[in-house]
Parts: sequence; C-alpha cells; structure tokens
Amino acid sequence: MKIRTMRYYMAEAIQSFWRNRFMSIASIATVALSLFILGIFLTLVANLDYFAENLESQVEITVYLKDDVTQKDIDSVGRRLSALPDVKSVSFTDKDQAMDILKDRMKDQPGILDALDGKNPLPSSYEVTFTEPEAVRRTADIVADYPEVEGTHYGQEIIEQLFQITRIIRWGGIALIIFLTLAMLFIISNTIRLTVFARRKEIAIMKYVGATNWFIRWPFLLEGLLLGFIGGVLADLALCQFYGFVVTAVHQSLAFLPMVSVYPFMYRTAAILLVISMIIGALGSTISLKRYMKV
Amino acid sequence: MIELKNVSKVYDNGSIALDHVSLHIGKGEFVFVVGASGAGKSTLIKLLSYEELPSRGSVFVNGIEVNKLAKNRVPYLRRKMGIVFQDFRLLPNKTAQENVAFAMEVIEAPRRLIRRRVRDVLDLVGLVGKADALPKNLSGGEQQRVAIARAIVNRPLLLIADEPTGNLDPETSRDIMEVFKKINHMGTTVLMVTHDKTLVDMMNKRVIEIDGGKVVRDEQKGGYDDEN
Repeated sequence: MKIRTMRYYMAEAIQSFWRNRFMSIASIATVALSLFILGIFLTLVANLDYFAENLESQVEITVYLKDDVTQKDIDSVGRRLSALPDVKSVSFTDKDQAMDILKDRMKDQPGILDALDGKNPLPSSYEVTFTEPEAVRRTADIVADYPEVEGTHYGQEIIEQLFQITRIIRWGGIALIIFLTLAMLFIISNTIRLTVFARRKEIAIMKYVGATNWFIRWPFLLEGLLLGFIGGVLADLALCQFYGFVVTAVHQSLAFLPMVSVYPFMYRTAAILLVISMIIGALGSTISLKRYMKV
Repeated sequence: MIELKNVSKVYDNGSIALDHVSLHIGKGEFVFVVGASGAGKSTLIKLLSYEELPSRGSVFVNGIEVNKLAKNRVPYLRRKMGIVFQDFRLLPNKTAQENVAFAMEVIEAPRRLIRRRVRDVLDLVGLVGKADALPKNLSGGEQQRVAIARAIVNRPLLLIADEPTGNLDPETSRDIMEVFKKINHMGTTVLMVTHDKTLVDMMNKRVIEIDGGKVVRDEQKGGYDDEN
C-alpha cells in the first residue's frame, strides 16, 4: 500500500468523522461508557478471584476456646492440636493479647472500642498452621468436636460462598457484556452508515472507474477503528483513575481486604479493552459496508 | 471488443430484459444502440460492466468472459472501460479537474501521470479554461465534457455512453458528439445508447436496434429508424 493512499484513507476517515461529529461523539461516548462498565466487571471478577486465591493459600485455622476454660484445659487442647497429623505449628493467643491486637488495628477509630465499656468479649484462641492445605478442613471438623472449643474459623469456608457470588457476577457480567456489545455495534454501524450515505455518489463513481473494493472500504474501516479506539482510550483512562481511587480508599478503610494492585493489572485490562474497542469498531463498519455498500 | 453469445437476462420479478441476444462489436467501432424505453438497452450495458450477470449465455469484453469473472477482478475489468451517464454524475464539491483526477487517484495512479493526463484530456474535450470551476458553475454541456474526460482519463479500450445527450439541447449535443467522434478516431471503441434520432442519422454509424429484448436490426451506416 502506498503512503499516499494511506494518507488519503486517513484524511477521508477524519473528514467523515468531523462531518458527522455529533454521531461520532455519541458513538465514542457509547463505546467509552460500555467499555468502562465492562472494565469494572473485569476488575471486580479479578479481585474476587484474587481474594479467593488468597484465602485458599491460608493453610491456617483459628480455634476459638470457650470463655470458661481453665489453664489446664488450654494446655490440654494445645497438646492435642500439636499431636494431629500435618500440623506445622500451634500458637496461643489469650484474650488480653487479642484485645491488644484489636486496639492496635483500630487506633484510627478509638471511639468504637469505648462502646465495650472496658469489657473484653474476645475469646482466647489457637492459631494452627499446616504443612498440607488438604488437612485444613479435616482438622477443622475434628477440632470443632472438642468440648473446650467454641468454634473454628478458616478461609476455605468463605471461599465456597465467594465462588457462589463470583459465579453470579460472572453470568450477570456476560449478559451485560453481550448487551453492551450490541449497543456499541449498533451505534458504530449507524454512524458509518451515515458516512456511507453521504458518500454514496463517490462510492458509485469509484466502482465505475475500477477502484478495488478494499480501496473503497478502508476509509470506512478506519473511521470505525478510530471511533472504537478513542472510546477505548477514554474508557481506559477512566478505569485506571477509578480503580486507583478505589484501591486507595479500600486500603485506608479496609486494610485487611486483599486487592489486586493497580499496576500491572491495569495495563493488561486496558490493553484488553482497547483491543475489544477496535474489534467492535471494525465490526461495526463492516456491518454497514455489507448492508449499504454492496461492494 | 465485445461479444455476446446467446445472452438472456431474466430479472427476479420475471421480466425478460434480453432474449437470446448474440452480437459482435469489433475494436475501434462506433456503435449506436437504439430502441424504446425498457427494450433492454440499459441491461446490455450493465452486463458489460458486471453490474448484472446474464441468466444464460456468455458476455466477452476484450477477450475476457465477464460472466465468469471472479468478483475481485471486476475492478480491473472496469478500468478497461469508461462509462458516461445522462446525468453526468460529477462530485459537486470537486472542481472539473479534481473530478477527472479522482478517477485516477482511486486506482492509485502516480501523481505525476495524473497531472499530465488530466491536462491532456481536459484539452481533448475542450475545457482547459474551466479546469478549476465547480460543476455548479458549468453548463450542462460542459459538465458532460468533464464526465467524458473522467471516463477516458484511464485510457479505456471501450467507452460506454448511456444517453449522454439526454439532458442537453440539440446544438450542445452535436458538440458532444464531436468529442465522442474524436475519441473514437483515437482508437477507442464507443458504444452509445441513445434516443436522439437526429444524432444517429447525422453520424451515419452502425446501429443496433433492440426491441422486446431481441436485436431486431443491426446495420452498418444506419439511421435511427429502419428506412428500408
């Protein structure tokens, strides 16, 4: 392809873009908004996956003891826990230590702990770690039957509920993505259709004098790509800003919640969105060309 | 140059536009195609340029069997022919010379060649002084000259004209015919569909008359009507 031809294509595409600037802007806005929403879904799903992975890798059980246990009971539980198979370490946290940890974590919001009136509702507990992740559930079931034990807590319990939520979000997301994709295709193909219509005389003449079909198609394809690309870039910028803001906010208020760090995750997501935007742009113009140009 | 072998064209609605037409037009000929409206003249042109495909039979242009041509070869077929229409079909936002140059630009001709050829053909059709005028500032005859210049700028072997004088007054029509004659003398085959009796009688060229989709007359140095 000659450079002059490429310049011609670009000039034509930009000229059409400008001639239908209101439709162009509407297309870009639709693409940007749709992809932004899509991006939020991708981010949400990625974070849920990350969260689940995080919990899964925690080969640890917290065993809460009843409030009325004696020191003898505590020691006895500790010995029995250490004797269980696949146990790596057992460490004890008494209720006063637990309170200190909580106080330290809440030092930004001291008012909350005042409500306790100096009482300590926290139980004493054992932290048990394992050499094998498979041992977690089995051990938790055994330990829950100990008479001194109030209850157990481990990450995998939450994971199952989390998976349920993730599944719902995934399916909802897919439905939404299909809907948004159709909306994007619709508006882009309509915009290109206007251009095709505005240029129908030129197209007819080009065909009569023997311009190749690709020569006729390229400016329209480029216009579609351009609409998609600009929409994609806007969506990317908005998403990066938005996610950066969310991560900062979460770190400030819910520091224990693991979140996918902004970079490099955003690079990958942005690239995906941009590719999608351009595919949709090209597809949108192809639809119009097929239906209205018959080249 | 052009050969039709037993060509029929039946449109989807069942109307028969051409009915077993066979004809041969040699290189460098000047041929009028005459007949009433709806006789099948336009269909004949459309078959030559691959706008329509024959229902039966074969169409040859410059030795190429048009009806068997691969779709992606069609543009190259059309580069061998120039087409002029009754309604000129110029681009209103381009000047006369830009309209002519457009036909070369879209087949990616070299820029220098474009400049030279455009000047030459505008000279040939007698429009050098109006090169920078927009179509709306040109008379009907001048607009048709631009259209003719555009049709021949890529040096086609065949020039097809579909009622080229249909919108022009008799005097202008005669001038336009002189242009076609000149182009024909330079070796281009000219196929002209027309209703203009005076012109056909004046030119004294081969006349093919179509009626009801059939060739009912084909005579050298003929007139518009069958005088014999």
